[in-house]
Amino acid sequence: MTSRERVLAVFNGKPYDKIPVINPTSLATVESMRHTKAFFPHAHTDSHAMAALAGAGRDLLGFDSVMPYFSIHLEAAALGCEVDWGKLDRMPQILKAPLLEPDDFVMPVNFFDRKPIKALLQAIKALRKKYGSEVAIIGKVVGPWTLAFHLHGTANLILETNMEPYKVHQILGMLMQTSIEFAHAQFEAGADIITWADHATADLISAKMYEEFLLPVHQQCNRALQKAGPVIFHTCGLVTDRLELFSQAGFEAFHLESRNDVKAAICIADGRMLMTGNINNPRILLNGTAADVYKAVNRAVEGGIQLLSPECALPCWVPNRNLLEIVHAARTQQNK
Amino acid sequence: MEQIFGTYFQRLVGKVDRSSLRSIQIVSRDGKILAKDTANSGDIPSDIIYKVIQDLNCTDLHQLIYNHSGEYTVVATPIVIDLQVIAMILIEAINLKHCEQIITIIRTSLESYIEYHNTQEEAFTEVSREEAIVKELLAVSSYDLGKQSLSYKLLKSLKAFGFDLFLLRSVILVKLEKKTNSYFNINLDLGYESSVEAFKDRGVQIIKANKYLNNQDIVAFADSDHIVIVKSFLDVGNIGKLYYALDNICESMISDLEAAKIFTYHIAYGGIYSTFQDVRRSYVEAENTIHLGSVFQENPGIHSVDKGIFEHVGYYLPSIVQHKVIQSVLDKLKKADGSIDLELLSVAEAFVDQCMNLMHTANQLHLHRNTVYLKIDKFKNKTGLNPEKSFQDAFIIKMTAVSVKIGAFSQGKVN
Ligand SMILES: [Zn+2]
Repeated sequence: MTSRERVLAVFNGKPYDKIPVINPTSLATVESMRHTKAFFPHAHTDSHAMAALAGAGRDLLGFDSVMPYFSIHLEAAALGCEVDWGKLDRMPQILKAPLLEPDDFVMPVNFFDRKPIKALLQAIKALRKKYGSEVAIIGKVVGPWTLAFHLHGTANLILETNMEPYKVHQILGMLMQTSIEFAHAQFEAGADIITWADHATADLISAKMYEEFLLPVHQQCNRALQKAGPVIFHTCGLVTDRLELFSQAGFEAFHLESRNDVKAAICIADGRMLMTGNINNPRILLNGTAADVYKAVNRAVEGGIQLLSPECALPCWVPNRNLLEIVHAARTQQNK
Repeated sequence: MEQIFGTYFQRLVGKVDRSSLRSIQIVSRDGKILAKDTANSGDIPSDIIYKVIQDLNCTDLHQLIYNHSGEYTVVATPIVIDLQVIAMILIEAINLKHCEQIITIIRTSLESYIEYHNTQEEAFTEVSREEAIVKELLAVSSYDLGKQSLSYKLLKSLKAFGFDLFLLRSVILVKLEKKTNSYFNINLDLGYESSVEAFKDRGVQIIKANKYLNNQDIVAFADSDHIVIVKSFLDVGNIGKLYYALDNICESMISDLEAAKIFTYHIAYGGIYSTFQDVRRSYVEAENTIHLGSVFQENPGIHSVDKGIFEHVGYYLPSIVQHKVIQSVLDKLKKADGSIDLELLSVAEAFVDQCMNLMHTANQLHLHRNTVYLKIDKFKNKTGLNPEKSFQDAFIIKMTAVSVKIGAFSQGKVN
């Protein structure tokens, strides 16, 4: 079985040989950057560097997927945010949000020609060309909620869920088009799967707020992408109280942080979403030993995780040997 | 305990100079052996253990106890946590001087390890973690508002639970009325105590489930009749807006409570501050607003500053204004019997409330226009205050009236 077949078999409910190891979010490490000579911050927005650094996930680490979108800032940059692209080992951040109001927003006609957007699409094409049908290619879009944080300001948006809820509905309704269209474009460019990064985290909003503001939007997005390919939903943090709602949204999989119990998550999802992730980044992958990684993989597999992956975007100083150890541990698992 | 007297203890005794002693043991206060250094199989005779425990002097907890009755001299010392003897260390000594040092080192290490371990466990007690945190937050700086720092344990708990220390926070207080209420548990006809229990469990659950609360917010039962909510906010650069958001949150909590048929409550919030140290300050302000609310608002429900601006200003009036200005007006309103002419004051207050319109004041008080005129004139003569000529005088009249109401209320004279 090729890596791609293995990954897609899980999504299609078909038999597969070994549990796949994927990366719905960034797998970029300083070590991989040195090997590929594709360094942050350049590799956030340059298509060649993006493809090269993403390729390290396959060529150096043996993962079953490659993923060239390392930050969550490409759309924001294309839509007018001032972005600090960070350093070798520091992820980008928004310097200045345009504080967009609902009435101001029009999806630019040349959105797909804007530099960061074009770069990602080209990187996906290049990866498809390089790997053919060997490896699963994962694309990524920022969902309307996180995009609204970037364009309208997180604090503003959260306050408006209280003070001006209609405005939040309006903003999400408009921004979701960007996410849908960008996802379509990535599928067309050759992505097999899309990660949908939308931070409906428990530290910012309650499950009820997710239900009120985002669930209908996510359902609409998933309907629009139903035929295009599978979507993995990524939200950091504790999600037990909202996983039932996430399961109703129509995503094919959920990217789970290690703070959550896999068994409980799988029980709640009840076959509606696959579970991936759950390998702890700071404690296990950054600071742990090979034995720790092995144990974490076993625990996740025993818990019933269907696709192994680090829980979230990797800290850049994670040693590659620990990532190799995930793959190694996965390959020694019993056949399913 | 297993891990302390197991692995940690073994690691500790592994570092000890073996040539000065024959064996090390840890025994409980009833003489049960909890741990012994595995290098030696011989146990210390139980009669010596009991003798040593008997010799334990509870007034000097860091003593060394000696027993010379056996083959080896036994030196012992208690392990003390929170002034409680939790176990004893016994060493069969070869070189007594060395053993005195060794036993002291082992005791200190074990005590600090156990203390660390305990705070770790306390910090992670899941069941009542929010209740414990709120209790600690409200105990902070009760005598020195805002100037005391948080305890290490509290900071540790807050961090361990992932609370962001740099969010803005305000306390919302939900208070249950301390009386049996016909609305409450009407079918079960339960007394107050049971209704408090019901309120405690259901009220906290209902409020926790409020849609405006997230994982950064803390909800807990504070004492017999308060639910405390520490509500967090991101900084939008305009604190004023956040207070209006608080109004919405309180309203939504009330409708949640009503939907659950819990009707007896007062709800209010305190100021929004940027540190956990100020949670208590916010709590006190919320409490004051509820207290003042009973002066300016008859029904239970949301008590809010803007419904009782004068009462709040009156309550927080600088004491110099209180004593120098307000008190002197009250002195001038004293009748022959020494009591204050409250009726005259209330007419003057109504006059100010009605923007110095005689007709409206008369209507409000159900008095004849001329009567009001005469009373206002009398008030002016007695106090020298003329609200028609001076806004400051009008303000002083209002503050005097409010101060009397607030003061009288707290002494239980007016209801
Ligand atoms: Zn994440």
